[in-house]
Amino acid sequence: MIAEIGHFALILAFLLALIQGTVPMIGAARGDPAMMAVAKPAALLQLGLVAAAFLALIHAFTVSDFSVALVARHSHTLKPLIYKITGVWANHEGSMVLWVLILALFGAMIAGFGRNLPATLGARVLAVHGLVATGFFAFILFTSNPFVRLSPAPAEGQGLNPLLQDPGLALHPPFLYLGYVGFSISFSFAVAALIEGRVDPAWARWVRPWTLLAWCALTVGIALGSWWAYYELGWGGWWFWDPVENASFMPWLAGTALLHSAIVVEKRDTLKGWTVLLAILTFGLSLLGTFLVRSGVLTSVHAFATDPDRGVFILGLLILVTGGGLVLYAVRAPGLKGGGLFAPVSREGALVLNNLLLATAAAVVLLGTLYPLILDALGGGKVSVGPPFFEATFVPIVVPLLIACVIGSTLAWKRGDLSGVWSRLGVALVAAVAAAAAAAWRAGIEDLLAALGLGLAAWLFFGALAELAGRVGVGRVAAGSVLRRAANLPRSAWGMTVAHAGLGIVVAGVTASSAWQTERIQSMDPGDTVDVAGYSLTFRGVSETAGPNYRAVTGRFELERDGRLLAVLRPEKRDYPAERSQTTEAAIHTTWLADIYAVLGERSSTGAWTARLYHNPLVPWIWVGAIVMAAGGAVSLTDRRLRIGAPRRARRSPAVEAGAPP
Amino acid sequence: MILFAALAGMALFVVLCVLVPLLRPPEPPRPRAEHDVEIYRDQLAELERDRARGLVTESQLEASRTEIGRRLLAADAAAEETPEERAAPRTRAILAVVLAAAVPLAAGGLYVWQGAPLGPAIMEAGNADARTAERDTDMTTLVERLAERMEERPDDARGWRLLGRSLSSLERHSEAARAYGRAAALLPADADLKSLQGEALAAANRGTVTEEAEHLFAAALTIDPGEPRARFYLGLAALQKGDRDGALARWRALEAASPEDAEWLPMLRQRIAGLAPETDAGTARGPTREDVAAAREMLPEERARMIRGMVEGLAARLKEEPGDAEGWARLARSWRVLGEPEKERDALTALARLLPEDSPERAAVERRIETLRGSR
Repeated sequence: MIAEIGHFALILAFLLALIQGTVPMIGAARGDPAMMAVAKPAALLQLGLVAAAFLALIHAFTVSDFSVALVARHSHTLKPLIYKITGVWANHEGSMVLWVLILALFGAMIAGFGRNLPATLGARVLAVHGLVATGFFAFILFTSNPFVRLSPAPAEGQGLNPLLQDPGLALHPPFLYLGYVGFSISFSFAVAALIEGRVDPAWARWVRPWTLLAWCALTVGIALGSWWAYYELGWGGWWFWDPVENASFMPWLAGTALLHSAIVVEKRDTLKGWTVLLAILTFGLSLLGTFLVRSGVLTSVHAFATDPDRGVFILGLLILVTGGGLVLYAVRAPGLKGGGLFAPVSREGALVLNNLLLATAAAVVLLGTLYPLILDALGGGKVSVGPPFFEATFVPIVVPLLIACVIGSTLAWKRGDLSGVWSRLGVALVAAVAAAAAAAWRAGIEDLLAALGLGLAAWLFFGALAELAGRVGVGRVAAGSVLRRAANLPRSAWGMTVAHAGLGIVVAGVTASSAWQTERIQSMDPGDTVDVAGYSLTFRGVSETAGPNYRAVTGRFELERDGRLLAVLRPEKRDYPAERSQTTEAAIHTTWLADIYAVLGERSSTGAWTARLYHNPLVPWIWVGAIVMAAGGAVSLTDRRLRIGAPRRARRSPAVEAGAPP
Repeated sequence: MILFAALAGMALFVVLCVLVPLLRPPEPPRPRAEHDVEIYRDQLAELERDRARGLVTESQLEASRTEIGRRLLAADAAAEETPEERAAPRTRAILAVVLAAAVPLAAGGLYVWQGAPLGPAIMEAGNADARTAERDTDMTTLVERLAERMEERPDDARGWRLLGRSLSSLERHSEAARAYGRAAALLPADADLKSLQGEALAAANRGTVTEEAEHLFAAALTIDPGEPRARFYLGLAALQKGDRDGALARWRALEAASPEDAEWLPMLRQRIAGLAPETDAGTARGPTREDVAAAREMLPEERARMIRGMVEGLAARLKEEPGDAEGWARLARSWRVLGEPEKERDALTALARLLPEDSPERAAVERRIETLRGSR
């Protein structure tokens, strides 16, 4: 009965989304406040209904109600409770319910926090949001209904792909969806603004927190996904330029561009058309990602729903949403008047360059992802576009972006000057050169590119700090007033510093781990010792253990350095009988400067085991840096100007708020 | 009945939530321009704060102030010409009636089409967790009790044998092997017990016939040369060492010696069929003895690659001669072993087309295809 209530809640949510998408839209066009007022309760109630459906699904999974076909296909009584719950979204239908749950959550948040939005804009934003939701509800109900029943119910379920039985799975999809779906808010704002016919600084101020929120979540989601790939797939790598990874990376690049161009709209009332276009394209890329993953044109661990019908539906939705947005843009954009002028060398100019490069990078990734599919569809045979393509094209675009990022952040609005760059960033340049030289000295001159990469990382990190130091007047004013200035600095400025410094940390991790990874693959008998990058690993044999729904062979490797035992690594090979498949569990010892990574391979007929052993320098920095970047976004989100109040009858004079004397 | 009451209540609640704002109009919203003015004032205040902190120069401040001031004036001017709102109570009332009727009807219609409103019976059957857990605990407590009793009466060979069988059915194979071992120690002349112990050992090693198990089977055959379990496993041991012909010879002999209604015969024949084509037909249908011998020398990865290569060869041949049902069946089996469910499904789909409609084989193949489709 609970499953039936969940099903009905989903149907009601679908109808409610349809109402939310139409009535307030008509209301806004007719200037009817009552019809516009329907939007808020509809959005709030929609969250309640989807949450009810989601809870019903969780209930079905936790009690193993195999009369629900989805549970029978993806769960098993022996599965630990946590994976019964995460199993809800480790399949196509359930993950779509999670998707609309987050969509409804954002809708309810606009309805709840959007009191300061002008009435017509608020109604239109919620209406567009309702229309997007309608499409997704229809997709769920008509092609991927999670509440389809089985009769008679099987006695046992078929289990969950063991690769997905991992704590990382509990967090990776929700964060990723928060990101993808968050960009639907930017999209709704963009389309509402186009319908309204006005994009002004106020609009940018409202759209920016939502974009920031989505961007932070997507950053964390991508980082979690790559971390999961790193420790679960057992290949010692953390990014494979896999189409599915690219599918999440493209909206991230476009979203990063949007984040920066929205600042220009807000501060300078220009770049409006471009920002609206970016908002549409970012969500379009999120949908494209969904289409690629769900249509079956790609095969990967994510492709748990390869069904042509679903692919066609998502493709239709993609064309409708993105195409509709772009058509509206073509009609309305010429009417968007640009505002302030600026010189090429200025903060605006730097942000334009940032957008140009980020958009190009996204386009390159898009090309590399779609080219094999298009070629295949046209009968051109199968090609695979792998890391070499992306390294040859993506890196040359990103390097100037990263160099300019630091310089741009020190330029003034409207008219900046490059002559002061040395005085502002000399320290960072020295640090960058020193880092590159140190790397070249340690790793040898032939690894020049890697040394330059580390120099770039130092440039970003210390550049961000130098910019902050310059802003608060380090070296120019007394220590006390430096502290006071730092405390008074807008949170958005702090956010930028933290995020850019985090980017520097990521670049260092990426460079070092790709350039200086050490790999040893060899057959080992118990007692054998292998040296990996100055560490020695001694194989001490294997033992068999049993987990709740798997059997495992656990190897034992003693990790030593200079004769001192540092850790015992226990990589596992797991055998899941219900799912008839195996997984590897890598054992990782991290020093935070490097990871020692061990994977147990096959057993040979002589009784020796194949072991894959890696030394990955600085690899933890990638995820630490990504989390720092997201934290920077979160700090920026707390900036007071993003909490703009609703109009009040009796306003305080702005001078009262003007703060302390200089 | 409770279900329908709950569903009706939900639909009613949704209708009410939509109708309330329609029928009780809220206060007229503030004009758009007021919101804009608010933002611009905030921007001016921010500028003032930046100046206070020394973040902007006087000339920048002046320029920005002029720019924002211009926008502020424009917004104020726009505020004067805010259009009248058009109240249309009649339209609202019609809309309210339409929604109040349409929402429950559409929801009910969709639900009757897609849901399982009359399915409480199948729903009761749902809670499988409890049932399986119950069965397992029952079985487990019984076995534990039996094990305790055996500690008190260690000379009861029949009891040890029963314990071994119970443990086997709980898939606790190594414990089962120990229990059979105790029984075999009491009855050293019982060939069957030795074979059961060997089988449990092999199962504990995931089907690998270890040396210890092989000794047990050999001992069983010295007592009773016809013991079928031992003969089968010695064949398997030969196969696992790469001695395909030896395995085939042992299994063929066992097949010939088995009575026609022996329960192991179908399984045995399938095993033989899995090995036979190579020796019978000979032409590029599977790995040759040399291939197998070569495979034994290889690293596991290389071996996997070689096996994959041979399977892919089979797949290519079948593209040329798609009418070979047996070939498709073998290809599907190979992909299954190699853990390639999608390719297995494709092979099965090709196989299903060759099988007669309504035949049990075809039904079985189609069931397997369904399973594969679902498990992804």
